[in-house]
Amino acid sequence: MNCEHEVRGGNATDSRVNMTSSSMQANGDSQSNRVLASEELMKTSDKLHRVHAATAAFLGVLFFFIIVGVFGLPLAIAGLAVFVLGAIVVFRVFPTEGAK
Amino acid sequence: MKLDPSILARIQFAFTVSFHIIFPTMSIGLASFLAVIEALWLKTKDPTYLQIYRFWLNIFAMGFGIGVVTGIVLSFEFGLGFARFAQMAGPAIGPLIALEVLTAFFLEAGFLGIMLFGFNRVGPKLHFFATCMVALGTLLSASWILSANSWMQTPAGVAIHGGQLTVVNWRHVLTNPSWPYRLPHMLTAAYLTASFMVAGVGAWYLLRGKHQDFARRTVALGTAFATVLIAGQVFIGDIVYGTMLKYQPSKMQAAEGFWEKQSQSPAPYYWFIIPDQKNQRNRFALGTPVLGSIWLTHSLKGRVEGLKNTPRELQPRMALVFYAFRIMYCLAMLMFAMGIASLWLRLRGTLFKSKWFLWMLVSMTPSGIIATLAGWYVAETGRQPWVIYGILRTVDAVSPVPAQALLSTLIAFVCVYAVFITAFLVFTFRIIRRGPVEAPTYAEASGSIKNAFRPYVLDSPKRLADNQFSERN
Repeated sequence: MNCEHEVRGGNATDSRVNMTSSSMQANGDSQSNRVLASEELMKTSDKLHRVHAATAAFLGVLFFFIIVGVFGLPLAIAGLAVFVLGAIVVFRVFPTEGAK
Repeated sequence: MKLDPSILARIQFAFTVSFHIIFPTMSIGLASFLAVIEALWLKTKDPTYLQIYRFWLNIFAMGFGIGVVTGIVLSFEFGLGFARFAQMAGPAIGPLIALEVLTAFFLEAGFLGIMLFGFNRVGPKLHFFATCMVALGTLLSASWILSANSWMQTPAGVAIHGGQLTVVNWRHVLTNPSWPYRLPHMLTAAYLTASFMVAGVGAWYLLRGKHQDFARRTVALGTAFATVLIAGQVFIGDIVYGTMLKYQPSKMQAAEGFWEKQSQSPAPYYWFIIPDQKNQRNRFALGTPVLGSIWLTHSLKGRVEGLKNTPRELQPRMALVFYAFRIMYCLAMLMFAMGIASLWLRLRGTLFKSKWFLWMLVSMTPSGIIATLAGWYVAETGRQPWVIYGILRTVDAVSPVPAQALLSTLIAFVCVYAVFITAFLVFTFRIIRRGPVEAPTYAEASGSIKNAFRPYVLDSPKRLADNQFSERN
C-alpha cells in the first residue's frame, strides 16, 4: 500500500512524499515502542510520585504525633528540633526552586 | 420582652473583643515579618524585598490603626459594662494595662511615624531600627495583655480583704502559672497568621500569573515561616493544654466532649457531638476510636475525665468550648499538613507550580485569624462561669446598667465596626488587586538623625525632581 502524504507550503508537484508500507511499518513500530517506553516511564514516575507522597504523609503524621507529646516530653522536644532543623536544611538546599 | 443586662454586657464585650483581636493578631505578626523583610533587604539589597515591605506596610498600617481604636473601647467597657470586675480586680489588672500604655504604646507611637512615612526621610538603618521598635512594641503589648488575661485564668499573688483584692506579690501576678505558656502560644499564633496571609496573597498572584518575583518570594518565605512556626505551635499547644488541665480542668473536660467522670478505655477522640447540657450527656457523638487515649493521655488505654467532675453550676457550656477547640485544632492540623506539603513540593521543585497547593494557600489566607479567634473562645468560654477563675463570677461582675443602655450601645458598636471592617476589607482588596508598586532600589538618606532633618533627604529623589520640574514651569 502506498501512502501519499502532502506537505503543506511546498511545491504542489514536488512535495508529494511516497512512503512504502515497510518503511511505514518500521516507523510505526519504533514510534509505538517509544510510546510504550514513555508510558512505562510515566507509570514508574507516577508510582514513585505516590510512594514519595505517602512517605511524606507518613512522616508528617509521625512528626505530628511526636511533637504533640504522644511519646513523652523529651521525645517531643527532640522531634521538634529534628523537624525544625530538617525544614531549615530543605529551605537552604532548595531556596529558589523553579524560580526562573 | 425582658432583657438580661448580664447577657447583653457579655455579648457586647464578646463582640467588641472578638473584633479587636483580629487586628492585633495581624499587626503583631506583620510587624515582625516586616522587620525580617527589611533586614533581608538591608543585607541583600534585593529590590523585591523592598517591594514586599512596602506592600505589606500598607495593610499593616490599616490593621494597626483599627486595632488601636478598637482596643481603647475595651478599656472603657471594663468600667462601663463590668464595673464590679474593675472595682475588685483594679489593683491587679489596672497597673498591667497602664504598663502596656507606658511601654508598648509609647514605643509604638514614637516609631510608627518613621516606619510608615520615613522611608524617604531617614536612612535605611534608622528606618529598620524604627520597624524593629514597632515590632518590639507589639510584642510588649501582647505580653502585658496576656499577663492580665492569664491572671484572670490562673490568679496568683493576691489576697482578698473585705471583697477587695490586694496584690501581695507582683512577680506572681505578672508571671502567673499560665502566662509563660499562653504568651508564646499567642505570639506564635500571630506570626502564623501573618505567614499564611503573606503566602496566600503570593499564591493568588502566582495563580493569576502576576507579579511573579514578588509572588514567588512571598510564597517561599510565608510557607517557610509557617512550617517552622506550626511545629512550634503544636508543641506549645500541648503544653498549654496540660497547664490548663491542671489549673482549669472544667475547660478541658468541656473541650473534649466527655460527660462521665471517667470515659471508657480506650477513649475515642470526638470530632462531632450534639451535647445535652441539661441531661449531662451527648445526644450524638462521632469520633475515632483509641485516638482520645493516645492524644489526651499519651497512652493506649488511658481514660479521659468528663465534665461531670465539675459541679453543674460551675460548668462551662460544652458546645461552645468543644467546637471552638475543634476549629482551632483542626486548623492547626491543616496548617501542619500544609507545612509538610510545602517541604515535599520544595524537594520536588514544584512549590510554585502545584495549583492544588496554591489554591489551598489562598483558601487558608484567613486561617490564622480564624484559629486565633477560636482559641480565644476556648479560653474565655471555657473559664465560665468565672471572670476571675475561682474568685469572681461573671454575673457578679456586671455593672448595674439598664439593659436598654447596653442594647443601644451594642447596636451602635455593630454599626460602627461594620464600617471599620468594610473599609479595611475594601482597601485591603484594592491594595491586593493593585499589586506591589515599583519601589526605588536606592537608599535616599544617610541614616543619621542629624542628616534626616536636612532638606535634601526630606523628600525622595522622584519628588525632588517633580518639584524642580514644577518650579521651572
